[in-house]
Amino acid sequence: MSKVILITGASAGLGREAAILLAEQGHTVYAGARRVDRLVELADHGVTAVEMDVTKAADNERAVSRILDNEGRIDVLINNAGFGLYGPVEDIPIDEARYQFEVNLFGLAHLTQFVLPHMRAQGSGRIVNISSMVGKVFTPMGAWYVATKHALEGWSDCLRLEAAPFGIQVVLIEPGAIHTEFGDVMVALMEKFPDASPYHSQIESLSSLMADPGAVEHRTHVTAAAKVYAKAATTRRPRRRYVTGKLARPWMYTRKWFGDAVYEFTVCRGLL
Amino acid sequence: MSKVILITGASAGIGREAAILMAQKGHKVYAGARRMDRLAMLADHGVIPVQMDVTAGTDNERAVNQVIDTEGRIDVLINNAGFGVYGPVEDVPLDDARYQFEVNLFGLAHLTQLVLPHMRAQGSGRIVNVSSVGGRIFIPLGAWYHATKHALEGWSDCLRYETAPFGIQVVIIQPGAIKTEFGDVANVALDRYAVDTAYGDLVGLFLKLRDNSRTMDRATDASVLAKVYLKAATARRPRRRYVKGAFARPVLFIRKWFGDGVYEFALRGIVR
Repeated sequence: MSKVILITGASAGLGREAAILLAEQGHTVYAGARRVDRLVELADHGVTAVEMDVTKAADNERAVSRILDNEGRIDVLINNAGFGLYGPVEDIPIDEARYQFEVNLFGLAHLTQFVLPHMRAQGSGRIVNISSMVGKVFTPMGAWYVATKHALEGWSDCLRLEAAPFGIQVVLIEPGAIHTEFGDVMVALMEKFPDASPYHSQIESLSSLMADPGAVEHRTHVTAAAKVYAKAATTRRPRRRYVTGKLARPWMYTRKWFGDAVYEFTVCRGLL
Repeated sequence: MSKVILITGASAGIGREAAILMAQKGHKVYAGARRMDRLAMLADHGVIPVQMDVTAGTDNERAVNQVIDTEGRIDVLINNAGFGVYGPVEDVPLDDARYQFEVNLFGLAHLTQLVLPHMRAQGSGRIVNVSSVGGRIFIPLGAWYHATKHALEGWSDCLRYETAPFGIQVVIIQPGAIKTEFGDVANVALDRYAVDTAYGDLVGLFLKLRDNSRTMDRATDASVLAKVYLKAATARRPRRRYVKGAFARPVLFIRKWFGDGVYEFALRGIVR
């Protein structure tokens, strides 16, 4: 059955790929992003572009109203917009950490608050929250990004229980290393820390690893991960969590079964 | 060896008990809280009261300066201040959620940023972050509280790894159900949001659980947790995590080894 879907952060990477795939599968897809010029070509695939910044309440309100006016319903909200703020805790101004939370958690929560009453009225609906493997594990220099994704995991678990009696399902996706702009943004953000930072060597190691062409090539292609988005959004009985992409399963497995000491000795040490 | 310790949220509950215990053991304890009148009697135990609100940047600066000016060093920071906002995701205003994060994460992060340079200069130090068993598990209506504690877990894991090269240790404490004012504060929030809500059934179950005296009778005394704080703050080789208090170990065990399905089923058994 064709579904009405709103997906955020659709101008690039996984969001873009998933929006196209879902439209090709016959769903009515509204794709939100700040950079609306980058959404233009999505129209060729039958995707409706929506200019929105999830940190702006008015944008969220306008996007949801528009969908309801046009379609009379909203079946799926895919909270995909997000980015990774990396760097040492000591050096990152708290206001930047707050902004990381505005994008990765508060904005998404606000959008969710808008769609919930409509989904309750419909007696059905689905919220798909894009977390990350670092919603369950962690990496050096990733404190604020990891914090937002850990937070999203716990928040979504609670929401799932609250919304279930109304026929609303909440699903988490935990991508691993995917070939998107995520790494470029992360490296660019890390470049601004001064060489004099006591954490310089850790920053350098992680940056060069992230930018290493070998590592970049090794990442999972977006089309594979987009299929997981489509499944999570449309399958009749979704799982609570979907894990997809390189590194995700081994890292999560290592931490769960061997504990933090082994995880740090293998994964974290391997990153620096 | 006597240590210089700053502990926040010391006007009540475990923070207060721990401050007294550590002072009795011969440590130099600075105890911060907003409610100065409630700190007054701590002075009888040799604790030095510090008026501070962790969400006020200048308060944090003044507190750390006071400790450094007086003692010339700071060995342990115990980030204990925190509270729980309980209510349905759909009903809790985003600004209340943001404030929950200011107290439980951003305030603590700012204070940590202020002590880190001193600890690096000393070549030693310890940050003890008081999380919760709720940093690993979840219950309905607790989305924002659990989000902050999940976030703190991941944030602390990253911090631990990045500060280890400087001789700074990061320790997490996960209390279970403890006899403190925590429940009263959470209930005030719940009562506020529970007016005119679509989530009345769930709120009703929650309130029933609250009023079931058996639940709180089984909660652990704050004095038991204070001993864990002391250990986490002063043990020569601290563990990464300390779990203590009623229900803590069983719920962690169930979720980790039996999965979310069984965990949620068990949760339903408790709530009904």
